[in-house]
Amino acid sequence: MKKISFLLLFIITISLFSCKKDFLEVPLQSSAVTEDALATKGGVQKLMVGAYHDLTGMSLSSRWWTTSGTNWQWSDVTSGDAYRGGTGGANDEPEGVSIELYQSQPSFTYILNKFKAVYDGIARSNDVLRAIEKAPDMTPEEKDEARGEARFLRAHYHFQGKIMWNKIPFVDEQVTDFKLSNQQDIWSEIEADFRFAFQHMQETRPYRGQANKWAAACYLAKTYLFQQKYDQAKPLLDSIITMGKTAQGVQYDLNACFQDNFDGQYENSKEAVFQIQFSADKEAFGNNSNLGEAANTPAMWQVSSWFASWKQPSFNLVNAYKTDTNGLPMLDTFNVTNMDNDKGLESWESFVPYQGTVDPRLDWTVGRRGVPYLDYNYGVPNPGKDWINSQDFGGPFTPIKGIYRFDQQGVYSEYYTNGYLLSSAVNYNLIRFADVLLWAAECEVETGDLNKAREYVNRVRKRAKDGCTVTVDYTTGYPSANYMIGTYDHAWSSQEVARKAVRFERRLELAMEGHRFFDLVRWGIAAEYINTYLSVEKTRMNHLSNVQFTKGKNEYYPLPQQEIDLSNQDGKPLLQQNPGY
Amino acid sequence: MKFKFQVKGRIPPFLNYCNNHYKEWIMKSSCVLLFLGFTSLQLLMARDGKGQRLSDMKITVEFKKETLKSAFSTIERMTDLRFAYNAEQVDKYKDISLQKGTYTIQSLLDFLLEGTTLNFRKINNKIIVYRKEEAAEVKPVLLNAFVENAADGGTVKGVVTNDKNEPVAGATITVAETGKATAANAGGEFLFADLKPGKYRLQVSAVGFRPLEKEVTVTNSQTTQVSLALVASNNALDEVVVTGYSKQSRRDVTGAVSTISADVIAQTPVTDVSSVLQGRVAGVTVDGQGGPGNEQVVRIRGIGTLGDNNPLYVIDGVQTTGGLNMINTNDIESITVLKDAASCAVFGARGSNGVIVITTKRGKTGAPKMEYNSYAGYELPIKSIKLVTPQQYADAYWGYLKNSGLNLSSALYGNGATPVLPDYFVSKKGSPTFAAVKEGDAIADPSLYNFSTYRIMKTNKQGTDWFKEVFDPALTQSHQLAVSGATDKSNYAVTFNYLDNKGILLYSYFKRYSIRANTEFKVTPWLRLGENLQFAYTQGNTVSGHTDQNIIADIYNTSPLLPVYDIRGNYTGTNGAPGELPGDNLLLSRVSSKNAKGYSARLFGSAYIEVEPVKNLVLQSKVTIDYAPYQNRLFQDTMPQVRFPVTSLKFSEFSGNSTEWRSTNKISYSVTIAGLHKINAFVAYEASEYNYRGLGSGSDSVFYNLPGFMVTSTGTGVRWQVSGNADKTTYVSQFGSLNYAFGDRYLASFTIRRDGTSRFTDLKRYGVFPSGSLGWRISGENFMQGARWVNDLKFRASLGTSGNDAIPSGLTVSQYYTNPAYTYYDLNGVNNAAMLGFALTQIGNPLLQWEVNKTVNLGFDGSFFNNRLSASFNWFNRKTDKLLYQPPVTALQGDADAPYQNIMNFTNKGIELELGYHPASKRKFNYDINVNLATYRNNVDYIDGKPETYILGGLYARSINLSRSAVGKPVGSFYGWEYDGMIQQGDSAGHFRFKDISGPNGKPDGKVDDNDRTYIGNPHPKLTYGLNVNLYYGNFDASVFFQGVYGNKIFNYWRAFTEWPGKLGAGSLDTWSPENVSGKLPVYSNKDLDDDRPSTFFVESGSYLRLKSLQIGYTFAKIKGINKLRVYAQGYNLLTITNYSGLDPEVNSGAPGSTGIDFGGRFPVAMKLLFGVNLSL
Repeated sequence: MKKISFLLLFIITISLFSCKKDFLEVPLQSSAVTEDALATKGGVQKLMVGAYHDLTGMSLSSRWWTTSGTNWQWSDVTSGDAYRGGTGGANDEPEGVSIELYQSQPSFTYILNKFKAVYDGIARSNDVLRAIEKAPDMTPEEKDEARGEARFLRAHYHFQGKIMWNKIPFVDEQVTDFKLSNQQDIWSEIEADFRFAFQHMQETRPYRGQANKWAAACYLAKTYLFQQKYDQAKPLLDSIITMGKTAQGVQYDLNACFQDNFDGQYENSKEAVFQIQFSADKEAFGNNSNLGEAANTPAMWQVSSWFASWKQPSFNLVNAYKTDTNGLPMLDTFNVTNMDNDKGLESWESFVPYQGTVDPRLDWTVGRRGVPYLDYNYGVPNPGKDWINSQDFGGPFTPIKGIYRFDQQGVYSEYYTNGYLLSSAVNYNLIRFADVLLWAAECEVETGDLNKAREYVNRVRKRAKDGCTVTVDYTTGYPSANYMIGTYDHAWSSQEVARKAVRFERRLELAMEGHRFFDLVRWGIAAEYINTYLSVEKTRMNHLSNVQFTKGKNEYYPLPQQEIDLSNQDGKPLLQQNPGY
Repeated sequence: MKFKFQVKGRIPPFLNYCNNHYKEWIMKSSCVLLFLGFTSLQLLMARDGKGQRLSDMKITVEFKKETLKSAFSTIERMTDLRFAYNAEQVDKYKDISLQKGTYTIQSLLDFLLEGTTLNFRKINNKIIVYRKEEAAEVKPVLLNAFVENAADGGTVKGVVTNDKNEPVAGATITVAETGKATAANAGGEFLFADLKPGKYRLQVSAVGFRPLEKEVTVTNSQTTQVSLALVASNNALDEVVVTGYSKQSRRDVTGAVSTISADVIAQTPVTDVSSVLQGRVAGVTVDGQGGPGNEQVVRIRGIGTLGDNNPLYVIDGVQTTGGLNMINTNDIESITVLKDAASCAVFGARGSNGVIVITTKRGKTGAPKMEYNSYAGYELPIKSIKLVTPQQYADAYWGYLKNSGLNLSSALYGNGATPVLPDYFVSKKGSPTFAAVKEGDAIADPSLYNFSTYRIMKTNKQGTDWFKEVFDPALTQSHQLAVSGATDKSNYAVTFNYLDNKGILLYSYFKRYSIRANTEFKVTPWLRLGENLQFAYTQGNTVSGHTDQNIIADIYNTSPLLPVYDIRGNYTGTNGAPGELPGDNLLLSRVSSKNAKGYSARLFGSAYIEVEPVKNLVLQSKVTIDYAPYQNRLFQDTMPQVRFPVTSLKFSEFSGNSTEWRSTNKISYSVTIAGLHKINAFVAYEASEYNYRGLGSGSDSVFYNLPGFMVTSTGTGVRWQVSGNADKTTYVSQFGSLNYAFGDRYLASFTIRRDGTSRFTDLKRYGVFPSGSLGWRISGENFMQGARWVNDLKFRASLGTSGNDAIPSGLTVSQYYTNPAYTYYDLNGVNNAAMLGFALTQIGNPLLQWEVNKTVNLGFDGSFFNNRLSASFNWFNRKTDKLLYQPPVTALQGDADAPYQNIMNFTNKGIELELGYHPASKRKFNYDINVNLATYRNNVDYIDGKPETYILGGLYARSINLSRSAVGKPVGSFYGWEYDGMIQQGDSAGHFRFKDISGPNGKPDGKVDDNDRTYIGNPHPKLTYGLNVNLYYGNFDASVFFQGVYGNKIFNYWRAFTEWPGKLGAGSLDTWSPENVSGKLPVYSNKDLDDDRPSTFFVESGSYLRLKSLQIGYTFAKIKGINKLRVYAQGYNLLTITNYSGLDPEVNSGAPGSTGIDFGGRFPVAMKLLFGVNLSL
């Protein structure tokens, strides 16, 4: 009897532990959701935000400086405008130094990280496009506008890759097999995306940081320029200049002050065509701020005991801001002598800053001894060497654009926290209206209307002259330097002269903003220009001895070796390495 | 005469009495006889006597100085009388002389025993000689017994014991000359009767013991007493094998199975079960991971899958694949390694990497027993890291400047023709932030010193030995107390263990407190209940992993010119220092993180109820639980003086817990039909669930660095981090097994298991894994009877499948995540509140299915030459199909994690041989030898359907992969260029030449590029082996254990970061220059920096032979009240013979694509010198 009851008990136990059918259906755990959960209007918007995030370049968990959306490593440092800076030596990111010296290698993590950051932006844009197709609660108009926005972002990321590597595959939302060849030029696909975005996005958008119709138009124009399609760019630029508006519906115009473009208080202004919306969120560990340039801050001890002082302006760049008696740049002679500087001087030794005339934009672009550096150092002028890790390696100058003001700390910067740098939350201009005006000037030069070109250039120079044009001593209000800037009041004598002036103006206006190297390459003058630059600069900077820009090679960066290896199909890589690597 | 023991229940009290007083009895074996007499009816039936009286019997004899014994023999020869006596009592009577004459037996015996303490009595034809004072006890039962046994011929009686003097029941005793065999009873006793007088060899064998042979002399009518003490064997062929869901006699095993006994485990003073396996079992490779509490990398038969290759551990029926350092190795009774799929198939889903079945100790019948085992000693670094001196480093830097065409100028070394080492460093706020100055410079005026703003350090021109600063001999100790016992109705074992293992890296340690309780109850003959439960609590601080980012790697990256302390005794730092002074104060970094601690606990065990309603039909319901909470605390002290100053105290804490339960219901039946057909079968149903939840939180700007402030609420709240994660997996399984044996000669076994997993969609959810195996015990065949040298020989063949789903859960669908750092964006431009966004984080693959492992295994187990030689051999072909893997995918797909795929097939083929030589026990000196050898060859058979496809692996520091898995090559083969010497002439002089082996068209094209890469090394060993020799001399014992691997290659790419021009490793100085054209390393300059591309230059032999353990012990002779007392001294990891130039040849991280790649930064394996004691009461 007992046995039987135990047997029964046993059977009951078995049946208790027998499982229901859904025992093996385990939903996703942790913080993840499935695709279906996001296939709604709200989901599309959230995926769109995710796609925008990649503008910062901060999608990889470390090595922010390699992926920064501002391209400083890839453009400012390699264009003759800046040195890599820092401490030099083998322990300060040797790959970054090699890139400065035109010795990039396919195996560099810098290269791979940048490649990944670019294509992650593309992948996220494509995810948005796929979700739009599935979202049942969106109207056709809403869908088209969202498609336009996603394709705008996708084209932006492709554009970034295109100018870095030239030969890259275009990935759209239809791609499922990612073994792709890079033997097709992708400008037409980039153009198509921007054109679609231009046609389908509204002029005004709900959020300030969003791309709009005119941002797409500007980027389309930029795409034309990079293909030397000046006839197509010109009418588009004309209409942008007359009709273009920001996402808030404000007519494009230059800001009153040049430096407003680099001041957190004036973000998303009328000059801002498309900005990376950096922000200082505590939860993001700085990943939504301009962490990629955090190490470019001078080594100012009241901010922190340590900064890398990377991206230090070159002598050549500083010299470019010398002006002649008319306040015009010394196009041919600017680099013959160096502007007075404190290289080799200790901070306690006396120093008199350059007394010649300079373009006022110099002191909003370059930090130099004897001139106040924003509002840092409590108004006492920049002490020079103390703020620099190694003058031998980085020279005597420091960058300013994108650095938040000291009194904005915590508002336009991350708070200082353990282990994190005080990265700036000041927006970065991917495209600003001055940029657009100078493109238009280029188009006019190339298509023949030199006066129109001069008009655009003068509009830019006039703003530099009239609006808040001088840096003042923060405490006394007196000018810190002998500023002199004028407009081109005489017609340019030839297309050649005009071209030179326009290109020089781009440098003065947009220096250290990540454009220069790519401009040099699209103008086809990179090798000639940079080798000329090096021939003089190596006499000033020890580390540039023996450095050479190889024509036909260094115009583009090498594709990452790992990507080539992974593109293997039937024993042959589909991705072809760029020439010379 | 045939004896049948019918022993039931407890040992009768009188037998205990006998044990205590046996010396006093007339015959040594009297207790046995007494016992037998009492229990055996046969013995109680006394025969009718022969009525002849002694006084009537007459013989004619003469004694000349004979012994009493020989006198008795003489009488025996001349009559049919048989004497029974205690030899000890009789031996002392000698010099008996008697004139030749005819005497009655009565008078003869009276004469012989006159003046002795002995008396005699005749029963039937037996003459019992006994001491007078024992007379009362000799009758009557005893006498009856004597009567029975003192038949014609002699008798041998004996008792078989182990080295602890406990009876060995079931031992087989064979009389070599006659082939007669019997088995020892529960008391270890046995008896042979009716042996003709003469010399015989008794051969004894028992499960788990070395065979023993002893010579005995049998005399007519005499009972010869023998005592046979067996010595435990390490590698016995005959033993019970626990295979998880059932037990099998080793005789009946038809799969590839190896075992390790408790004695071997006791020889290995390690914290981790897996370390015990190293070198002990053919086909099991273990890569040591140094560092206290760090788990080892265990592989059974090589790499079986591209993901998780960890074998399944089944500990008293509880399944786990990790956290082995929580298991107290002293608790382990035996380890069984199931290697082929047929043996593992019963574990289905989780058995494909092999199964390691661990049984913990249970109480054994007898009085409560207490054991205390302990060891203590030191751990020492085996090899140290050698660095350049500060002057050498500076000179090399000057060479670099010259070679690069740069000015000879440095913030540290001045501007001279030769670099001059500074005397002081000053690191301060203001100008300059860091200065290197000479003695006497006003900047270095000690009175200016202020830790916050003005730190002055005297440089260490001799060079700081950072290795010595952070590595130190460390104390390690273990104490274990165990109580166990059993009655016929229950058994119990309770152990407590305390382990304190300090690591050789400063402040690293691992402490474990564990308690285990195993009990079983037979409530009624048909109802049994049992449980086993372990609770362990550990805490520790260690450095683990294979990385260039930890403190061990940093030893190579820290300038020896930096002193440890500044002029006021504070720790130095390189805040503001230029790049020529690399690294930072390692001791400070170690000190500031000494409060980073991990705590974990684990409750681990099972309980079962077993009902036997019908004889041999057993219903079992079992529940196992594995609950493991953990907590990691990180308290980072401020370090304002370091290069990246840490100015805020930071505390963070991560905790979580995993719970896994499993419920198994099983019906098993065993029957023997007609004494020939033995059948064992079971069917079972099982369900299990794994759950994990974790939570992390942190706080900055903690007020004080006091332990009380190690909670996350103490920060000033500038930044809080909160993170959480969860995981869950479920399984449902049905399985069954059938074992059949025909007359012990023909064996067959079949298993089938069906597993369902939550990790796959319902399309592919279930996997069915059948297996079968056959065995033929050829030694049981009649035609083998002539081959006396073969004691046992069994051929085995098995074919089986098992499955694998060991990938993270939730991979069948694409996962989108949200994270402020990676998916948010300030679209609204408000600057401090980015909008929430989502992004793809994991690409799903709904078609994922079971990876299947098929193994064919052929082999034999045998024992030969009177069981002296045992051998076990396996040949296997292990094919893994539909390998689950997350192949690296192109970045074109985005940054989301690549989808897992069933992408590849590969094969491991190999052989394994285990040999044991256990000579018969000698009186004083004994030894045994165990050898194991294994080899396997890995080959990729298929990837993705395309012969040219390969899978990249071994990504390290550069974005170039060091290994590839391609069809026709072993998994994870090294890939790169072939180094072809140094270029001596021209512009490229001093750089490496690489071979131009191919071009875009498959032919050498005169330039070295990607096309010239090829397979440059196989990380898989050609041979792994172990050799164990145990020696016994009297009370001394010793064991020597060697272990090694042969024929593998190591990619020592770490060299490129340590012993490369400009690096700090001592080997970095041998650079090429016009003055040193034989320099092995390239010229140190800023040009053509790609000599360190992956090439054969970095590929080295990974072979090594290690004296893993050397132990010498002494067991004290019997001490009153103490059962056993042994002390020993042991050295562990004593000697390593290798040509490998890195810190240690055991470099495997466990990731298949990174096999054999030295990533540096690994915690080095330590040498241990220990003293221990084993005490049992």
